[in-house]
Amino acid sequence: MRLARSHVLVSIDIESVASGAWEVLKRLKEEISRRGLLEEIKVLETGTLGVTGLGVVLAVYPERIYYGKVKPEDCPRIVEEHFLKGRPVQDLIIKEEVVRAVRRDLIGPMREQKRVVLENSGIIDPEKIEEYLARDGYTALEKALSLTPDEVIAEVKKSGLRGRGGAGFPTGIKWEGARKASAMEKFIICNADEGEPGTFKDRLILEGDPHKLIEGLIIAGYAVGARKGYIYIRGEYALSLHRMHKAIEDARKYGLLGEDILGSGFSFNLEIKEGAGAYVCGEETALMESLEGKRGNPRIKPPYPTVVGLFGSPTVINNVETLANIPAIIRKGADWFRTMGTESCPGTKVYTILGDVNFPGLIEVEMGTTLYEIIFGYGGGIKGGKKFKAALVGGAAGVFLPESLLNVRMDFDNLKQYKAVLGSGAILVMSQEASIPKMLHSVLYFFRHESCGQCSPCRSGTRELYRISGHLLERKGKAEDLNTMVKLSEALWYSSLCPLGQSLIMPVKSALENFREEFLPLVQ
Amino acid sequence: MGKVRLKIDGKEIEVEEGKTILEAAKEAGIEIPTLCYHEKLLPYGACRMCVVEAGPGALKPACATYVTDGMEVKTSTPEIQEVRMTVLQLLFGERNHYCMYCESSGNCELQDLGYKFGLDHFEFPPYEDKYPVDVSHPYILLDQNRCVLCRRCARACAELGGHFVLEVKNRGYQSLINIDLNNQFAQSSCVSCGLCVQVCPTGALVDKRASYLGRKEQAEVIKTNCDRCPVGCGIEVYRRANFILKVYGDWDSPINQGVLCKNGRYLPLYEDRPRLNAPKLKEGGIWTQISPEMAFKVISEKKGAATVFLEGSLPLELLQAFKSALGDRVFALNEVNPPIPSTATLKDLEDADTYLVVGVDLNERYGVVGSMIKRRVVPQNARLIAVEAGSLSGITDFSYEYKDIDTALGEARKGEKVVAVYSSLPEGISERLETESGFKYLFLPYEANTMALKELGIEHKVPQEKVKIYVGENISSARSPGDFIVAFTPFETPELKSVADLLIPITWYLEDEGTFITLEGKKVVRQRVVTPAEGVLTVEEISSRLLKI
Ligand SMILES: Cc1cc2nc3c(=O)[nH]c(=O)nc-3n(C[C@H](O)[C@H](O)[C@H](O)COP(=O)(O)O)c2cc1C
Ligand code: SF4
Ligand code: SF4
Ligand code: SF4
Ligand code: SF4
Repeated sequence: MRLARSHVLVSIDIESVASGAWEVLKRLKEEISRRGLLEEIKVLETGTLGVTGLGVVLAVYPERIYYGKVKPEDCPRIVEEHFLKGRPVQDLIIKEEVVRAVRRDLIGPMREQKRVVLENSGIIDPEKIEEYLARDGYTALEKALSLTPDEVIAEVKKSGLRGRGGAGFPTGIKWEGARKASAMEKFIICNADEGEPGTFKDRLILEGDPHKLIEGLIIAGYAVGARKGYIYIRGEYALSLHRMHKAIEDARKYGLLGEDILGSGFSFNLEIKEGAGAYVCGEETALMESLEGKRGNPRIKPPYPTVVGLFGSPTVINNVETLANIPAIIRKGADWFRTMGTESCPGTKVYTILGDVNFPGLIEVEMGTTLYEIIFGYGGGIKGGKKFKAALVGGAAGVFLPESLLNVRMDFDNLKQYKAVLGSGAILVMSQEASIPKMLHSVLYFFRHESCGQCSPCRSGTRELYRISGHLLERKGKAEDLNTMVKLSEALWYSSLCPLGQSLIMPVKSALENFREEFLPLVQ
Repeated sequence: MGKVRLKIDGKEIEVEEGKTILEAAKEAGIEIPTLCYHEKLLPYGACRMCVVEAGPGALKPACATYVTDGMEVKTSTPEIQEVRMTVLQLLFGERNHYCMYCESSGNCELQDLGYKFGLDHFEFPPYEDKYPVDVSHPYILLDQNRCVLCRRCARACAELGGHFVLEVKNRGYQSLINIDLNNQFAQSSCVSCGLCVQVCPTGALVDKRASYLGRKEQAEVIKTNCDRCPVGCGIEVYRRANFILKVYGDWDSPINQGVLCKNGRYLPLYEDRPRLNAPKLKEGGIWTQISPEMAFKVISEKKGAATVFLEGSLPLELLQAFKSALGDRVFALNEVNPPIPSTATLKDLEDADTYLVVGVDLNERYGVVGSMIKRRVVPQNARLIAVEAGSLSGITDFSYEYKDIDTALGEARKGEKVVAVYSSLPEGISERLETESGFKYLFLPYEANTMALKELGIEHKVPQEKVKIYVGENISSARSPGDFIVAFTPFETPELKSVADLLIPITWYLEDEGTFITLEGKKVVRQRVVTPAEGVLTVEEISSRLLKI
């Protein structure tokens, strides 16, 4: 990003492609070339810029101007007026508030986001390894290879990094477990199945900064003693698949993957697998079954994957965001990492803000940021000036938090006190107009639909819960139905085979406990 | 194996490492309810009836959780019982479990649990969704409405039978048992071994023939051995009055450990050739019923000129009787000698890494040997080299014709533990095969009691004599002018009647006690389970009458 006078970033994601991003890109390049500006204006494709609902989005640097709803026929105007004459096209500019929740560090004097895993997303051309290299890319790998695997693990442990896939398991301890397991073969898996409705944080990394993930994976492989890694990417993520394939190819060309990486004697290869499409395939053991070519049903634990994992070998499976934290931890050190976040949960967290907020989208902020700050600061408050009612925190298997808990500091341990979880980092905000029984009903629909059907309590219980909640909505409920729902969700927690069935208790109980007054009229 | 100390319900116990909580509890005399668990199958842990408390967090399935040192297990706190009760109620409400109309009522593990837990009403209204019923199979009925998705059928079909016909399709509450990839049972690759029926805990998979003919406790169960081939599998025969309801594999049998094939489980019960119920003599083209005395009188008159041809399907005692009565004029109707003698036992099939199957379709004959091989080949724990092995060649990439025997042998030699499996072999092939020094050989005798013929020194000979006495169930003969043909046989088929002069009825299958020598040379006894019809001569009767001729 040196020579050129300006950079234009074109967001390429599912939404913008559907709105004609490729056509815009093509036309833009044609116009720039027609005007003889090729040397001065550089066009870059990038992952999503984090703006939703505005079609094709362009960001122009260094001016930090965002254009939205751009059509191919707008390109001549943008090139002529902005790039040639220096007069930005006012009617296409996105007002800063719109993107505030997402890019506030870039536009205006707003509250900062702490960007670690998303530091490059939307800024570099994800399809050019050179741009990643220019931003200290792969220096962490170089450093890691100069350390012993135990030293790498010690650093990760010291950083206090915890898994961002939902459960918050300490990453260093997981790696150590697999390192200590004696076996001929070990594996690393990156869980990029991202099946949580409305969540796309992992996609942002896959599409916006694929090399960061690859670097994290190679370091993990080195630390654990694995020579092979898999990236299991949700099938619908066509662009992620494309970008990751390209990135792996490029890394291989640079000698960063394959035999004898950077002359260290360590060899590591990566393979991409396309997800089978079911939500439950994101569960680590189901994912391994699916990788082995079987039906994606969860396995019974123990044994845990670090002991008996993929093809029976010790396996570390980590979320995309977890692995994307690794390069920075190795490069800048555990102490630096610990300056962010809370004591027991250092670092940052990426959240997807959804629902009735003014600025839905993705943010990366420090662990421990309050829910209030996220919803009212970054999310810009409730749409239409309405009152806040509830936030479903942690995804479908999350907890309905009421207003009284808005000041809860968001990290794994703190949420536990409120029987809540960070989960996938999805925060679904509901205004006073939302109906909690209806929301719960759709959550139950989701679970009934996603239950793999292997174990009887979840298979039959999700259907029964959905049936009862439907009855409530139709006002056919009985007084004891609310207790039955609690009892069923408890039985599912106690007896289900995998966390999918076990976690249903969270939305059910929190809805019925925190918003009981909404259910009572339904059973009278 | 080391020992592990743990506490179950306060009881200190010590068990071998590698046991599950369920097994450890059983040793300690503590019973834990189960449904998807089956002793002969790998732990599945999915019905969740056996959940116990073992450490913090959610409950653990006792059937699939292994004991560790210092573990503390609680198997029946009020909380656990309540959770199990809820799971059981969910199972009962899930599909059609109105037991009254169910064939398995009284012989259903789900119903048993209902009684055990004192279920006296449906807590959750039973769903009335209709799930498919597959009646296409000749012997088996699959009613998905009574299925509890324990996957025992699919697990048995794969793990024990090696057939891999059944799986689960769809997800969640819409899960169904899937036959091949969406096939009807009748059109599927099912080989009718019946294992799935035998392991199904409910009325979802039932034996068509035995349906509604009697509950388990109305039947007597007789343990014996199958006489349909020289494997000699252990069977359990369900008898009610003088009627065989069904045949199950004997889980405790050291030979087959419960596995059967179609020939052992179903075919004899569906036998429809007309039975011969009294001796009959043909004179001037007319058949007349005669007394046994008359019949043996005729035989004794012809004795001097007669030659006897015995089938290898007969019990040792009957073979012996003919041998002692007629001495050196007794021959085997079919081949007796192996092309290459056996050096292997069935045990060798358990850990071989390569099977060379030559000239025999193990899906059609010796089915249990087929299962022993298939269940290791399909999951790729061993390789199969198939030479003219019929439908078995469908499961391997190494399938050859006789002309490529050298390539096949070369491929087999890559294995470290190779077992060659064959019955009769064409000329040229056995010579090629027998020189392999590294192989073990498993000869599959031609008939159930070929080994007994061999032991008695009875040799095979092609019948050419004028006066022939045949003994067996599958007799066919040419006839030339002046011939006199006698048949000791259970069936009077039109073909036989067109060539024979004298027919004498003998017992068949489980109508008589008799000894059989298996392919491993073990003597097993086929019990008398049903009384033969009046007029049919037992082995004992024939023996004593033969002594007098
Ligand atoms: C039903 C279900 C779905 C899940 N889906 C995902 C997913 O899409 N991505 C993910 O990283 N983890 C998912 N998980 C969590 C994984 O099982 C696993 O804990 C995680 O990949 C571990 O990575 P971490 O230690 O980096 O958090 C899911 C868990 C469950 C129970
Ligand atoms: S809890 Fe649900 S998703 Fe998990 S194994 Fe059981 S049925 Fe499948
Ligand atoms: S399968 Fe069992 S529980 Fe269900 S109806 Fe039949 S006997 Fe009753
Ligand atoms: S009869 Fe045997 S082969 Fe057929 S489905 Fe059942 S277990 Fe499988
Ligand atoms: S058919 Fe029988 S054995 Fe198979 S899953 Fe259903 S209940 Fe279990």
